[in-house]
Amino acid sequence: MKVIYAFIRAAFHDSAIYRFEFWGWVLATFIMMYASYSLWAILYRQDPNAFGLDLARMTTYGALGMLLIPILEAAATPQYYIAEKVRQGTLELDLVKPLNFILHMLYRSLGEFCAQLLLVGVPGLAFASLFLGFQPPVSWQAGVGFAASLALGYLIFFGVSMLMGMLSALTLDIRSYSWAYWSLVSFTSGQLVPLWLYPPLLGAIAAALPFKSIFFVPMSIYIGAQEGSMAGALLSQVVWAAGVFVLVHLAWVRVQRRIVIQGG
Amino acid sequence: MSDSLRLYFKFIGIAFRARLEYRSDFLFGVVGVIVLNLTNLALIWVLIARFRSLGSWTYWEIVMLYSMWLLSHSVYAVFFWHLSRLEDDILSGRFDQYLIRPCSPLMQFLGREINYMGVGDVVFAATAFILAYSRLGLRWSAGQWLFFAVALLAGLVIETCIAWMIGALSFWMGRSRAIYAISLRFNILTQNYPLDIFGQWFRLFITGFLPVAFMNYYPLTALLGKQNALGVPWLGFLSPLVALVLLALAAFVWQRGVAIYSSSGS
Amino acid sequence: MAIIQAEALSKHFKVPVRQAGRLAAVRNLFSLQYTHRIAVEEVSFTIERGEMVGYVGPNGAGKSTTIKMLTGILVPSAGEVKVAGLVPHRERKRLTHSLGVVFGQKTQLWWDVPVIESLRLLKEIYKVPANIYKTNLELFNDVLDLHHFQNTPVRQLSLGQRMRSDLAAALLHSPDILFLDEPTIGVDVVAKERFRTFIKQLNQERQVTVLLTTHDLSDIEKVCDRLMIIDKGRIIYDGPVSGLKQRIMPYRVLVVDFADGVGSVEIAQAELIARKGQQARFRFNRHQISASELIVELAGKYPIKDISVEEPEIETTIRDIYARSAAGQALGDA
Repeated sequence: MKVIYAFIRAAFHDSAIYRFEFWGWVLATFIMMYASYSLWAILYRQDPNAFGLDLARMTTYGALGMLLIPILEAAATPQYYIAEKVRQGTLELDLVKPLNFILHMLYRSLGEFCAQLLLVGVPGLAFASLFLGFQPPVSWQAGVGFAASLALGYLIFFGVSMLMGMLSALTLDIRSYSWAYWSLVSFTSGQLVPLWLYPPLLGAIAAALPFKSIFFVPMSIYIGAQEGSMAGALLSQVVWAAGVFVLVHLAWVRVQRRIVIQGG
Repeated sequence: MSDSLRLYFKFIGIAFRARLEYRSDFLFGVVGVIVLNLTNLALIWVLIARFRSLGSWTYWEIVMLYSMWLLSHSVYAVFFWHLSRLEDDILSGRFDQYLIRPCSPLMQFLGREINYMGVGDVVFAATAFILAYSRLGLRWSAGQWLFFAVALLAGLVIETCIAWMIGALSFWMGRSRAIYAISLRFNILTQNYPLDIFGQWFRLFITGFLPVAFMNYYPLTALLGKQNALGVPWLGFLSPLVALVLLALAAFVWQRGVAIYSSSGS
Repeated sequence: MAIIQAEALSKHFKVPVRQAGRLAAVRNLFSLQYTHRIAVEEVSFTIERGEMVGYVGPNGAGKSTTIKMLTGILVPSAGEVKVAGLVPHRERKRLTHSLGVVFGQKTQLWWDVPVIESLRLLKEIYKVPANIYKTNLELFNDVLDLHHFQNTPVRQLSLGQRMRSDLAAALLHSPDILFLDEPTIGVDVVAKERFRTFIKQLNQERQVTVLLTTHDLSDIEKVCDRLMIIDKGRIIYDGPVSGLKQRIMPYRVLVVDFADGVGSVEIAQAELIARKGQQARFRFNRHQISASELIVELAGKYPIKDISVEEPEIETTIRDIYARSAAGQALGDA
């Protein structure tokens, strides 16, 4: 527990050092939440029935999607961390450290998650509630479900990020296509546009990828518009999480072997 | 001045040669850029498939909006993208190198990099634009094409000068990345969505303070004969003027920045 | 007229202060406090054309700041400076033609292309006439072996080769003044030797004025006639390298190999600093007793097999000066 606290402290400190950047990210989040709100407001005016639910819940969904980016981004920490270490050629040093590497990544990422939640999430929530008509969860069950779903989504994202990081350790330099990757993630995750608005083919593609479980599932639970039952949605996340972690474990064993033999 | 320009082209020649050393990155970069743009347009397509238009803008009009922005942006991305990393040279002291030589530090900095990623953008944008043009059944006169070309150039100048100014801000405030990130958000929003969908404050901001709307939105309203979001018709023709104003402003900020660099060190 | 003139040169900086403590991390998000830092204080010196001056000091003493003011990159907070007859920060561009600079840690060359390409580019930038370019390249090939690696991209060069390339780049336009900022850092001994030879040759043939900042004191010993020491922004020594030893460090070391059987050794005028087997090292103050007198004393008392006298190394000398400066002692006779 102390270890996590240390990482949280470190993450806060990092934010403080780059204080302009920190405020910049907060402001950028406000802007994107506002943009999303505007988009849904005008679309709703054009065709109120296309959403299948009222405007307030729709704009809440939109704002939530933008708010979750800086917060969930913490789960992507391993991706950048590993890529950077590989670039410097010092990844093997991490393997020598006493702390299990995956745990180390998890703690680091949780530290940033807490920092982001407090420093960006709270102001963002305040802004959205005051100016964008942001709604609380539709029911207390939805609130609890959302929290659980978010945690699961976080873990899945973390696992995927580990895989991406390991990919860079083994072969490709992901930096040159990280934008493409992110836009794919946001497109297939329902982060910008809820998946029930997608045409069937695209919806099927999105369902085959883990990203839907990261954004769409928790977000839809929050507004009470998830596919099927809440339990079912949570279960699908659990399955994805398990699958991703099996993959991570398998890949990690290979990567470790590769690094130890060949050098980072 | 022409001497600095001549040196700039020599620098770019070297930068290009240097890039050739990293050939494998090229394919990934270009493919990545195409994927990025495809997903952006796909997202809008998903929306339009349901809603048929965004405000008064139809799908192909938005594609035109998007690709017009991208045409200006791609040239910026090829030649001036490293302006967003000016702060690195300033903070690392590499800027000193430029000051030791009898050549404009600006030319030296601009000349140090060239990025192939913009090439993917150009290809995509040109294709998308031509598609939109034909789908909309447009027939522009020579005058309109000329205006379009001027607007593209103005758009390039606008985006470059904004990045230049933000980069130069790091002479004063250390890292200006955060401001750049914010400006980037506005840029992306302008690229993807017509101004009409946003509230009045937002429209004023993007028109008067961070004038990225002049990169695509305003000239396009003039070319397509649409009413623009502020209801002021001559705004559609203002982009060259905006570009010139920004150029003067950016040059001024840069000069002051270099002066400050010498007095405060790093 | 001197080629470099500095008078009461000073430079102050405003530096942000990171507060420590629990809530400091949050407080820092909202405001930052500043403090005043004096980098260079009242520095004055005159350097004539053709001089080879070493500029030494602990890290953070103000060396780089001084050099930056001499090159015009930094504007002084107070005082005056003139280099090659020009005020550096006012006529920076004109001055660049007379200056060559080598930064030891960073290369000024283009990273991914062959060295010769960088040199060709610099030729364009400085507008070096074709014949001078040719002559200089020949010189570099001769003394620095440039032609062995001129077609290699800079990123693939060894540190020694990179240093030589940076030297060539700095001298391509035949400047009158050469500033070398830690040029031999991390470089092997052979390359260092070559570097020293080259600099001396340059100085002899072309009267290039050299200002060398370094942590490698043997560079100073072998290359420079004059040494300036800066500590905490102030010059605490400015004089000949040889004079330094005589003035500041009167000590020498006598190394004596005693005959077998000699036990403990004692002598009043000298201090025994080391004893290994039959070899002993004595430190003596040459102002108090000369080497020959000491030898006579020792030989009178003990049977001696061999003797040698060592000069104190410049390292010890400098360290002593730093220490005295830290203790606030005045420099001068011991």
